Amino acid sequence: MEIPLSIFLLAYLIYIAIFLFFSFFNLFHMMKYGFVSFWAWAITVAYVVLTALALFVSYYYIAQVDWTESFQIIATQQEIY
Amino acid sequence: MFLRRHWIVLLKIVLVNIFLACFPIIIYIGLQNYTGFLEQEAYKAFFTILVSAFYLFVILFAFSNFVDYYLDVWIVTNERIINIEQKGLFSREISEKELGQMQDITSDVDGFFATVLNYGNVYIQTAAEKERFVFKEIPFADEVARRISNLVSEYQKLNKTIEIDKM
Repeated sequence: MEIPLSIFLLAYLIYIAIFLFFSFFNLFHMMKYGFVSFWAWAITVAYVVLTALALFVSYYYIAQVDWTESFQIIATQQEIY
Repeated sequence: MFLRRHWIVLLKIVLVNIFLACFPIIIYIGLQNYTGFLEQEAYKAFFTILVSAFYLFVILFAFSNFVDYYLDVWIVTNERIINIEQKGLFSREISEKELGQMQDITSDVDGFFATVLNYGNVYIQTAAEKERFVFKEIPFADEVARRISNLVSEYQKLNKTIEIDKM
């Protein structure tokens, strides 16, 4: 049984959308209520930089993959024998 | 008094997230050295996506915890107590009560680290039946409870004097 790899990419993109949604609300809270000290500001900037870095590194590796391939879960009878 | 939770809470967040961040590295070393899992392109792609999603989760989890820590604040003035609590991402609670409505103030320092680092909870029962303020994991809990208690006494004395003057 084979699953196209692109399904995982799609699931990943949905995950990124959810991640960005939660990130937006966290940043919104910090900007609205939290920017009264240097540390709050510094940690928020660190979060944005780390997120950008993680997404960039992920993109670098994900871009190298051939997403037209398939992911084999269970070998068919032909392949077993 | 402007109170926030003890720095040990921040340290816990940092340690938990460092611990979580180590997981993919250990799994990668295991898969690379002891299995041929990552030699196949499809499995490698699957692993890359999983690791990326996991690290994004760790970053978001750490930041959400920091936001929760940072936006929980208790303010004690010589007239009232203000309790500001960030409850998750979509709920924020702000309540305030006059010092005259405070009835029972209890501090609770429980556990080895709490005793050594001197932090704990302060429970303040208000005149309302169910409502009570909880100052969670604040530094010098005993001292804070004592000071609030003194402030409440002073507030009540002052109010009595004002009432007598009015008569």
